[in-house]
Amino acid sequence: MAVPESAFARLGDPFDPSDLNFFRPSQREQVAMIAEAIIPRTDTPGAIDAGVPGWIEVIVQDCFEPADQEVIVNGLANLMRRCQNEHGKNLSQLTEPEQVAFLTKMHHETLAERQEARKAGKPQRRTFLEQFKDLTKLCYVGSEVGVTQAFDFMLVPGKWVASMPLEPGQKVWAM
Amino acid sequence: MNLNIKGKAAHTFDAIVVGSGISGGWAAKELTEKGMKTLVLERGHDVKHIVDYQTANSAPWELQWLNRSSREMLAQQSKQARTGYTVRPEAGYLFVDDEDHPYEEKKRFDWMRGYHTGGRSLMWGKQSYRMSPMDLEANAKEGIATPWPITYHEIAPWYDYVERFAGISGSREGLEQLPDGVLQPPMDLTPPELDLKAAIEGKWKGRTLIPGRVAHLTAPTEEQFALGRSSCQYRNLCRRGCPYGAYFSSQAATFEAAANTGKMTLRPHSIVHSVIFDDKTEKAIGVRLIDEITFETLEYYAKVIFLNASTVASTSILMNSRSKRFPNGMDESGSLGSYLMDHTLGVGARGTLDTHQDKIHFGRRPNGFYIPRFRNFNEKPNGNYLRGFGYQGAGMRQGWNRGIEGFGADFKKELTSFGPWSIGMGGFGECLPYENNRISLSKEKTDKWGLPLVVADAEFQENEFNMREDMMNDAAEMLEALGAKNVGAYNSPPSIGLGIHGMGTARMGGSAKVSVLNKHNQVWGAENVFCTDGAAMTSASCQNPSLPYMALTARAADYAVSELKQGNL
Repeated sequence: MAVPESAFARLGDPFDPSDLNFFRPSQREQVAMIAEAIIPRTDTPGAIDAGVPGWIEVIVQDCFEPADQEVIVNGLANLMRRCQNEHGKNLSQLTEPEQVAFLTKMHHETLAERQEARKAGKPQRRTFLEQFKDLTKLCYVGSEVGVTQAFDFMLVPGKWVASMPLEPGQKVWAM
Repeated sequence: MNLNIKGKAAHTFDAIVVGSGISGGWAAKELTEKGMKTLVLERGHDVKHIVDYQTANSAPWELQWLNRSSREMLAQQSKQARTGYTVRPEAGYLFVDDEDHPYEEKKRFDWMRGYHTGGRSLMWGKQSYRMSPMDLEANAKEGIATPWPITYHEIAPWYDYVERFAGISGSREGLEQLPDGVLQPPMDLTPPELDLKAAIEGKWKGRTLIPGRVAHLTAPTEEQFALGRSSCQYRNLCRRGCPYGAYFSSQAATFEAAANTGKMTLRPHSIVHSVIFDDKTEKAIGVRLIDEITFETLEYYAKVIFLNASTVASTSILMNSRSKRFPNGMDESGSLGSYLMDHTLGVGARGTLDTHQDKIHFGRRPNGFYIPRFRNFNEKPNGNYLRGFGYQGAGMRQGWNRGIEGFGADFKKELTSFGPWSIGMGGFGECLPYENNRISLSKEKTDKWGLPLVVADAEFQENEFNMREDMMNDAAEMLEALGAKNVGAYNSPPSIGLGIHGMGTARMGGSAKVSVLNKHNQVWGAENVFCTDGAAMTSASCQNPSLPYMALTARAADYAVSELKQGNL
């Protein structure tokens, strides 16, 4: 799958693509694939359009604790391996319903595993899919493309209206 | 003796104000407006109004890491990060570097500080409430700590005075436990908040819900416009600094007024070590400071000194101010450093609603609702405790920031659709003043400027823990009375400091035997030294304390100048 350059840093982002040095090229493709499966392009831009993969990398690189970085790196490899084993294909080669079913199944399994581990008294970090989904969501709703195209963005609302009718087509407030 | 007369003249003022936050700003304004040539000392760097608010107009994608904290920031500001919301790219630079500014914790103490011009007036929560007669009488009635040396009647005109200038938005309610003041129009309540108000008032006679009273302009006065301030624009990006000067800060309000007099000199990077007391004249003659950048020790002189460095810092300065008269610091009562208070919080409830699905709100209100105290006022407590608590909360339509199951296009559709309304409230409980909740100065360790480290030894006690049970259960009951769904109550382990309402340690009181300060906030025995920040608080009340600091400061400054004119200082 070809990931456009723009997925990794866009004009005006407060980081430079050369600041990114956490993922290997193959991992970058995986990050983009999974992020796009979580937030695909529909009538509004998807995760790749919004530059989410680059944001994910800069945040995992600079903000995540080493133990959570490990969850991400191992999780990527594990997810790709499972997808190959179960479907004989890459995630991006599955149809959208197949992608959703695969991620949902995996999400429930890893949650169950964590529950078991917790019962056994072993403290567990949040699962790969929990963390990755959160990251994808937060990067999408923070990105310029996501904020301005999928949401209603106002830096300066100028007034407070405590109640007004929800009109059809009204987008969710970006912030 | 070789006196540098010219140098000394350049270092001599009518008044010195130590600290530039909420109370220091007020001291500067009042003293300069009364004709006093005033030096304001700020220990940290200068932050100029508007031009230095680096991130005030940043869009989300313009903030580093989309406003998440980096590992490096968290390591550098490990204690400031305990709030969970302050050490972020948008405004983390307004909180101190804990590596440079260490302190010792005998028990966990979350000391949240901003060392820059304006202090925490730039990052405060802006909730602004009066203390009531009940609050000021409680210590005396219950025999707790020591009585307040002032009555509500004495302080009320000063509340009027500071509210008129600062600009407080809120509704007039006629409540005995939360006196009305000079208020600009309130910020409207949302539909679920109005429903909650009706549900609460219907079920409990003594309870009500009102719009939060908040230091934001909603109908600026001529005086406020003239200072360059304008109405709130409902961005709710306040902690980055407000380019509209819409919320009260030293920069937007008091320093503008003080600067207009031409009588204020602001000196940043000035870490005050102590007050210089002259044993011959039995008066303070100035302060000794260490320049933050050059490490030089300097002296500045004035007739009147106001300590407004923040609760713990003002007390530290008093402790360091040793003389023949005050060999152990400026206190003879033994109370200096004791009776540290904060509000007890991190307890409340939240839920969701299936009503009003056809309505949304517009704009970002930097405020919510307030439920004034009812326990130990018009309702008995369930447990065994004195005093009470109020709640701050909000009922808002949920957007993307809610838990959404699933992946793919359906997930995205939910993410970009409005969710149900959610409603929640968190309690702010009064903490009693305990002698054994105290700060002291380390005898061994100093910071890089040679100042002894603060040692904190304080914790919430049985009264607060008992109160927290009601704080949690009452919140849940009120949400249930509204018919909220998925009501979840919480009561997280509390620690002192997280309310960022440090109070006490140099309390006001009726005599030099029991307190550090008298009824005009003067240090007993050094009457030209005033302390009017949180350190002066004799008890906490359950309301947010900044408005009382403003009123006490304006009152004390008025008294100081009048005493000076009469030759009494």
